[in-house]
Amino acid sequence: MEHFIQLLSDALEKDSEKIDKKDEFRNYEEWDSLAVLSLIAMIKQNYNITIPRKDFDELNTVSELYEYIQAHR
Amino acid sequence: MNISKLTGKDIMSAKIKQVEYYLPERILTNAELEKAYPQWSAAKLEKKIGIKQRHIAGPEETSLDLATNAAKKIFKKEDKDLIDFVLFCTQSPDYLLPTSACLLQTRLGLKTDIGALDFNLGCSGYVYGLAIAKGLINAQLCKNVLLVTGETYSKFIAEDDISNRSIFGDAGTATIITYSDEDMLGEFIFGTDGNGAENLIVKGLSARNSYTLKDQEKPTLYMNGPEIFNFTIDTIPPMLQKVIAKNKLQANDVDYFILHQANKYILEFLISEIGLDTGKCHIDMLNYGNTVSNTIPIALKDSLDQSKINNGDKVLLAGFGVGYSWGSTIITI
Amino acid sequence: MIKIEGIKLSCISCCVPDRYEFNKDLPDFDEERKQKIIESTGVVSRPVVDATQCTSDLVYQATVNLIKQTGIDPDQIGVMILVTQTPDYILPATSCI
Repeated sequence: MEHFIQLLSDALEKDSEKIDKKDEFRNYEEWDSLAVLSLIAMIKQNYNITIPRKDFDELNTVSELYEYIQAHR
Repeated sequence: MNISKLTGKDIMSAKIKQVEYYLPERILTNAELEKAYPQWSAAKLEKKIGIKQRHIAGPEETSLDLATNAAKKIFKKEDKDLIDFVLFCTQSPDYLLPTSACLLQTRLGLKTDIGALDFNLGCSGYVYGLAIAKGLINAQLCKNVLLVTGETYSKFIAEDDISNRSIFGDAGTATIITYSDEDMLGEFIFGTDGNGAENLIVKGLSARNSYTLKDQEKPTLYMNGPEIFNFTIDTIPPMLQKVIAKNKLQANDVDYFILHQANKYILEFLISEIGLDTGKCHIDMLNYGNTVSNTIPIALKDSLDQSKINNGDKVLLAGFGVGYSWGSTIITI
Repeated sequence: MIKIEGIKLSCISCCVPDRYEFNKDLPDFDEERKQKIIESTGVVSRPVVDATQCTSDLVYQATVNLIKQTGIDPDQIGVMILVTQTPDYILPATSCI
């Protein structure tokens, strides 16, 4: 999870100290259309998966995102 | 003669002879967008997406006007009477009917004993246009094809849609593909997946749904950026491998890569994922934005003018996007 | 220069909508005029889509009919060309749909 948070921090250009697994990532001030692209790229490069939109829309927190990736990589 | 036994020397081959483009005069800068939308960052867009400005067609200016002006540039150097087939790629035609290519024939003063048709593709359109032109010439149905692209996506984009307004630009291009002793247009790879249709779409301007739209609702462009990015990163790397293999080459044999110039972020990601030499990859949408089917011929023309590609070079072209539709080929300059 | 041979038109299939409009029912014309129109055009009736049907629906059904009639494996089809002036959408291309 720590490594994932660091990757998320790099992708969103957000201080990793300010990322908690319970956070709803869509509420981050850094969250915009470019952040979405960075996140998709980070997940593809590091976990070699793409998340279909309908699944992604169901994920709200950092930990849900992490668990989805772990289950599908 | 069995088709499978035919070689490049047996059939009439094809090559690109000329490429020109035309950009509308009106320029929409990032500064102008930032003024209208203060919460939107021009610096971020330029840095990540690679766009500083885009050309926008005037209120009365259409894809036909842009394509016509591009073609006129070519006919300053070439004889228009040699053209015996016109292909017009557009998704923003002047009319649903009649065919824009027919109107273009008259606007340019081309002969009347020629073929002309429109085809509706976006980002993959130029590659498909080259394939159709190659097929027409190989089959000896014509000798000189005028392939034009013309796009005015700006006319579909809502005034308050800052995201799409910042990405898309308008343009027109013209290319002459002519017969040749040598096969300068290589093998093609095509792909289609209509499951992606709803991710880049204009609803209500044609038959489907038109009756359900309220009178005051103007049909506008919808794009699901993340889904298109997903599609691109899943589909394009394997396509590039296939087209290189189909042309019996190795990646190192390709001198230059011109991928559809969607945005800098996507291209840099693809280049890194596939492991290409960045010096061999064209990335330039700074002053144009994403001009849809125009991006590849604009990049081709600029690359030739800037001597980034020279005679004999093998250039990989790859278009992908709306449809979903994708296609790739390797041409020899 | 060698001509490429070995190409043929293999099969044709059609699909028209179930709903028909009849020229004998044309509004705003008297009986004599309607009769003249039918005689000069040779058109008695015209199949017309309903509000929910579009080009892709007709083309889809025609293709399904074609595949059934010929037994062709759809995976053998390398290129699809859809000719229309009334697409489902101005974009994306109806052939993708």
